[in-house]
This record gives sequence, structure tokens and C-alpha cells, in this order.
Amino acid sequence: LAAGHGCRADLPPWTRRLSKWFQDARIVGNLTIIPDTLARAQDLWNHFAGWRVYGAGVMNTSKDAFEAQVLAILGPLHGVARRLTKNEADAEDLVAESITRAWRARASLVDAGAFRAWMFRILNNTFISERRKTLARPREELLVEESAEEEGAFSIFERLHQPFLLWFANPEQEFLDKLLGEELDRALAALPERYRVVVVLADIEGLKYAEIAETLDVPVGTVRSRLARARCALQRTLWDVARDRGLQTSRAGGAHE
Amino acid sequence: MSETDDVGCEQALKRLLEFIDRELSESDHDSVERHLRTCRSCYSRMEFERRLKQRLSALSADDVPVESRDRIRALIKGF
Repeated sequence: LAAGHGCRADLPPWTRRLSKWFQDARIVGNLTIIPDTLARAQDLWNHFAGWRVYGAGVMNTSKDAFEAQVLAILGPLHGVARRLTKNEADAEDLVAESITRAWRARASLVDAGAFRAWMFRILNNTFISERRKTLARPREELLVEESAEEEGAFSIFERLHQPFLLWFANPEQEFLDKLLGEELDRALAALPERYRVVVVLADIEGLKYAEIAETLDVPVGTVRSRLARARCALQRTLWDVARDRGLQTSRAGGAHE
Repeated sequence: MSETDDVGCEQALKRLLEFIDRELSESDHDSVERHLRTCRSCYSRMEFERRLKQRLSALSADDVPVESRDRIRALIKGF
């Protein structure tokens, strides 16, 4: 990595190198943010420019580097915190406490490329331990690991799809089109916590299964099965939300019942 | 599953979410993709699940209020 540059109005060549480097280091999943937010990229560049590449890993334990890494994922951190606490003020406190813990534990991060999962893991653990403090005893759902198949599989698609309509209509697509963002929010909030967490990490924040496993400290196989159940549960909840609003009664509602 | 195996609907649906998440091995991914090319019903299902996932990912809020950002900056300065 070369030294940093001043910010110019057009996209300077280093943004491409930075973008490429991020891709290689697997730090940022979605690279479209790089050219779109030049200021942020510049910010990151200034911080990362001091980094040194050691073999496959890249490490810089300075406070500036730590800050840059944290700020780069502050949005997702806040998003996950908000879904965990269901409350803006608590979410802010949770993020702040997690960052404090992360700084103290920075020596435990051995692979800089795994910063995101490492940070999410600290966030998740902080959330759990903070709540233990406030509750006399932990909520049961925290202690109970997967209780076998609680409910059978559920699929909105199977409820709505009508193979014979083919080109004339697409009830399942219509269902998604009519679904409001706030209804998705509501359905998510209604999920049991262990399900909500995996859906938030996988579908909203776009983490890979291995990162989720790292975050939750469970095997990847558990992530797979829990995510499958969580998505079923989410669809069931969405289905109920839609019924409350009368969405289900559209043309194809309950066709397969 | 070997590369030459053609998967049926049952297998394809079982792997559909991992297919969408791009978590299958390359050969499994390809075999599901081959099935989706020829099976309209499974393809429609995949489209639905993919779009639902897109709706969820659209909930991701990358913007953090300036005050929160400043608060975190100040917090780290104090470390």
C-alpha cells in the first residue's frame, strides 16, 4: 500500500486500489459504497495507509486504525444493535459499550480480515451480558438451545403460488410488492431472539455463514439449520401480519389451503 | 453430489436458500442452477425467496446519525 493522497473531485486511482484491496481482504462485502462515498473512502484510506501487509493478514493495532475499522462498520453495528434492543437509546449504549470492550480485547483479534465478525461477536456477547445484569434471571430462550422442530415448515410461496396462472398473474410477487417495510420490521421484531439475530445478520447485514458462526460462537451447521427455521418463522409471522391487513385475501389468498 | 448428478425438485428446494446466499460449493451451486433453468416452479420459488431477501437487505441502515458518529469518535479518543 502506498502513502495517502489528497482528496480530488474526480475519483482518484487509489480508490480503485483501495476497493480492490478491500475485496482481497474481504472487509467490505458490498463494494459499491466505495465510489459512492468518496469522503468515507478518503477517510479510510488515510487510516489504512499506515498499515503493513504481513503475509496474508493485515494488522495495525493503533487507535487510529481501530477507529477507522469501527467507523467503517458503524452503520451495520447500529442496525444490529437496534434490532437486538428494539430501542434507539439502548442501541447507542450497546454500541458504545461493545466498542469499549472491543478496544480492551483488541489483542484477541488475530486476523484483521475478520474484524467485522469479531466486532459483531462482541456486540452480541455484550448484549447478552448486559441483559443478564438487568434481568433477575436470563430469559428462557437464551438457555434453551434449538428445541427440535417446534413448528413444521412454512412457506408463503407455497401458500400463494398458482402454477396455472403463469404469465397472467404472480400472486407471490404481488404479496411482496404490497408488503410494507414497517410490516417487515414488525415481523422481525416479533421473532424469538435467536431467530431474529440470524436473520438480521444474514439477510439484512449480509454476513456469510462462517461470519455468523463466528459472531454467535456456534458451528456453521447450527447457523444453517437455525437460519432455515428462522426464515420459516419469519414467513409465518409475515403471513399473519398480511392477514391482519387483508393482503392475504387478494385473488390467490389461501389457494392451497 | 457429484458434478454430473442432476438434482430434482426436492434436492433443489432443500438447497435453495443456501443457493441464494451463495453458500453452496461450486459444483452444488451449478447443479441447482441447472435445475432452475429447466424447472419453472422451482425458479419461481427461487425468485420469490430472493426478492424477500432483497426486501430484508433494504432494511439495512448504513447511515448513522452524526451525533452517534461523533460520540463514538470521542469515546475512542478517550481510550
